[in-house]
Amino acid sequence: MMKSKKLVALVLATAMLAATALTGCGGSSEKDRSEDSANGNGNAVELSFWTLSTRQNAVEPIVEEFNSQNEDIEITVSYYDTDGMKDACKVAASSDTLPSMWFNWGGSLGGFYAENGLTYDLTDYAAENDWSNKFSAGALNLCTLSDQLAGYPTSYNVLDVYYRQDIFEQNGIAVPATFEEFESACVVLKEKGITPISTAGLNGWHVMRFVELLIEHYAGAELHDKLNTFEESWTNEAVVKAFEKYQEFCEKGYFPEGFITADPNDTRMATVSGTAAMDIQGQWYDGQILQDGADISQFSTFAFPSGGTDRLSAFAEMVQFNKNLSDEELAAGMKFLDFYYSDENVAQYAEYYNLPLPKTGAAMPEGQPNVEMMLETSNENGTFTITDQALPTEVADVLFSAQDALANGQMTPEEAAQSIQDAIEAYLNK
Amino acid sequence: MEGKQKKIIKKLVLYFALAVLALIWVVPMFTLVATAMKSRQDFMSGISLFQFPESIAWSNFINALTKGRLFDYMRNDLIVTCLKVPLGIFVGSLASFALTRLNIRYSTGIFIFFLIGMMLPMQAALVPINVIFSKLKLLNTYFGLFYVYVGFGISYAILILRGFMKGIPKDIDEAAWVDGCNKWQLFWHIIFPISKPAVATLLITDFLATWNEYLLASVIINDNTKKTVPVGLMTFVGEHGTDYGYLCAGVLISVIPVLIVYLVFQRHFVEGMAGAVKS
Amino acid sequence: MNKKKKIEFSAYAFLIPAGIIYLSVIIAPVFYSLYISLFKWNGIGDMQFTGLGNYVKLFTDDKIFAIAIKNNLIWIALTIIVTMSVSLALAVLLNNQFRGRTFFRGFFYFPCVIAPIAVAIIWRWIYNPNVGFINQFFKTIGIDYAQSWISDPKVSLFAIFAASLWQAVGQPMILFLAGLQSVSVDVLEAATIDGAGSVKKFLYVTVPLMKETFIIVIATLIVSAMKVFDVVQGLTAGGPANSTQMLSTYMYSQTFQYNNVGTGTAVACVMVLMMMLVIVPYVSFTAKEN
Repeated sequence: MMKSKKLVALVLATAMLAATALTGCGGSSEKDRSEDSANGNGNAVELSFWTLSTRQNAVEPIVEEFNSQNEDIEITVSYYDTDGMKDACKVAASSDTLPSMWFNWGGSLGGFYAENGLTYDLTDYAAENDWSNKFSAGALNLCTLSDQLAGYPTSYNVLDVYYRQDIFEQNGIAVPATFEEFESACVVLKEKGITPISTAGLNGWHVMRFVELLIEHYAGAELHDKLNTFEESWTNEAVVKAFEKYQEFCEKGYFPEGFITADPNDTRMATVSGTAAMDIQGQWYDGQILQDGADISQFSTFAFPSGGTDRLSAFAEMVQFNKNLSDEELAAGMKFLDFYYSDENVAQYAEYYNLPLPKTGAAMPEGQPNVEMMLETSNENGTFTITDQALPTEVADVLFSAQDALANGQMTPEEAAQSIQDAIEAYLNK
Repeated sequence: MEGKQKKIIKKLVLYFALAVLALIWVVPMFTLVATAMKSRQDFMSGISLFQFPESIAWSNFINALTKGRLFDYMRNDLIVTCLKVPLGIFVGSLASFALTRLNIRYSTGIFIFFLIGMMLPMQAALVPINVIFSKLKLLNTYFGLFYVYVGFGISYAILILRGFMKGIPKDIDEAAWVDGCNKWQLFWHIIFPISKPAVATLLITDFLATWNEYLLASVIINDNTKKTVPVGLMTFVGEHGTDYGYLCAGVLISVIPVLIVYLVFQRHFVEGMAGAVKS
Repeated sequence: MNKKKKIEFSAYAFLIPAGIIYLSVIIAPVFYSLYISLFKWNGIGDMQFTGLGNYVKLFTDDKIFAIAIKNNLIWIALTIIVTMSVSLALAVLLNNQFRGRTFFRGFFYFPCVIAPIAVAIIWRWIYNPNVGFINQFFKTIGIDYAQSWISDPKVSLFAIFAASLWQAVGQPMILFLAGLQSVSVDVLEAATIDGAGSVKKFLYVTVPLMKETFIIVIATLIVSAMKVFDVVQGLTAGGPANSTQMLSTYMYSQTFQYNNVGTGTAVACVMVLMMMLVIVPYVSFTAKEN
């Protein structure tokens, strides 16, 4: 009896010892690092930075260089995939472990952190450091959330209709200048067995890029903006008409078969191989086409002829700062971002940035002819915030499922509009 | 003569059934392999998704290991998995031994209590674990990750080991008591070795589950040098488009350790039981 | 045997290591979840106590939650009927002695080791209405039938299930394979001498001897069916129009996307309760039999 007790005790003790030993060794590298920098260099500023893993190959050498150039600053980076980033920030926000700086999208995604007072309001900093001359007005505008300047703008993206020039030419289609011309272009393409518009509905946001253009067409700029700020009801006639047209397009087969569960990453497969003629995409599409080894000269863009000034949708990306940062830490963080987004680094690691930078007078990426054209168009035509960033996610998701239901004929346009309005009211009464 | 014929027919039926199932099974596998062999250009060029490219893009595999750091991720995962699996099995078999072979009150109740961990959706555990771990400075440590894995794995370990240990005849215990064994000796020298088939099963399933766990790993580990395979593989997924050849090559490489563990340990299913019957 | 019936405290020592680790990892999340589910909370700001409000709302006024419950129940039924039969059949086949057995054991297990993200990608291609394998296959053999498998709400759930089946069979197959070893050859031979046919032998001799294996398989299958997430999120993300929404995907949306942490956590608690409702009576009933 005694013997067994002793044995068990021994096992337990060993297990516990092993456990503590492991904690020691597992945690040691981190502890050592922080102790080193705390002891060895009394006033080193330590900053943590979370960003997307797709940029890792650029950020890693940049951070290394920055850390060695600035002995008083130590940046540590963590990388996440797109969804992982969103989840990790939410978990960190709930458990009060947000990093010093983190990448974020604009609109409702980044706005959530600003709204709840987790981000450093950069308004004063921007005024002192003349950001209005440093960054493009459009980008600053999109980074202003809940009346705060919620982040350091890192990219400004506009969306346009990419089309296959060669396919348009072969079929005698001119770039449509009116909505009617756009529709007749679709008719011709469909007759030739080419899917007019490549889109993919998984997660909803890619199909939304077309739906929001239809809303812009039927509602006009002013009403469209009011819909997104909930000043006007979505049961509005213009929305219903837009949904009717979208449903009609679905029925006529203007989108690929089974598109509602296709992956938005795959829309390029159809345009590059030529089975579809158009795709609504941002200026990063040029880079993607090049990486696919396709012929960029086949692709050009036009602004969707929605009427009025034919506005484009736009969204920004930014780096947000933790509200708890001291002035010194904030300055160090800014120093790092200015280095990260400096011209030399952009030139060296061009493919890991969403170019052009949202700065005034930023260089255009080489060999990507559509980028400059799209930005010019956006300056001339004006922009509106892309719908999934303009609407709270839970409302946007109702729009997405309405898109599915309309495409499958499970909902009438009126019902779809009503379902979105219901979601808005539920959101406001939350 | 008749028996032999029957045997041949049986074999034929067996092979036929396997062939039909294998045909269905092979399509997705083939797709995976074919995609891993395609360069991005090949993939976009419009050749069928279900067809091999003309030349194999070995660069996918090389890039996955070097640029994609898959080698590092696999090493990290191996560290965590090789710590977790043996300890989890040991701890689980101690508890299962107590639940099945010792006189413990409410053993069914305790067993059911241990099953809750299996039912709890991990998403619900992310915030509390993150809060506690950041206080204890356990974020970004292998120990932190491995400790949580052991905790979440206990349910499954007990479910499997208890099921097996229940089936071991009680006469064995009687004989052991008579021989003067104590509880620990009974466990360590008799019951645990007899449970080899169950341990082998658990080892296979546990190795796989730990190797492929994404959610907890993504929250507990954000230091790049400590990431495990599933989190690392996600870095292959692009923001505006994924290079599928590269991703599929990464997936193919990352499954090798799991397949090895499986093929090595599935043999022990049979051997273990033969031992149990003899003693 | 009987004289050992008195409670021995040293027996509990064997439970201590598992108990400590389990309690420290699982208990905090369980209580945290139960607690949070009683509040209205966006994950950051003030928490507002609502009692059982979140639950009441889910059960009385949430269409998507109702769809999710229905889908999970269908999924459980499919899992028990289809996944279990297929994996049992495979295990029985692979338990025979034949050439290439190790290869086939590895072959059928292979899908289950693939990262879920790749499974979703591959099956999306197989189901693609234009370039997908299934529709092209029909075309090649001259059958004029095209279906947009996962985007048709009527078949979507079943298509996802078929994809998940490919991956889900491996695990129970191993459990059955291991379980089959516990049926000793002597018993089967005795049954053969008694003149039992193969099917009868299997049903009346093998299956009862594998009772513990069935408990394990059924319990794990129910849990995994209740928690199914990756393959659904990857293939349809709950669409089209929420028709393949699962409790897990809905919980995920509520918690991480809509910032309704209270509601999302309540969904998680409902999931655990539903699993317990099935598993606890089943396990305690079979445990008492002995």
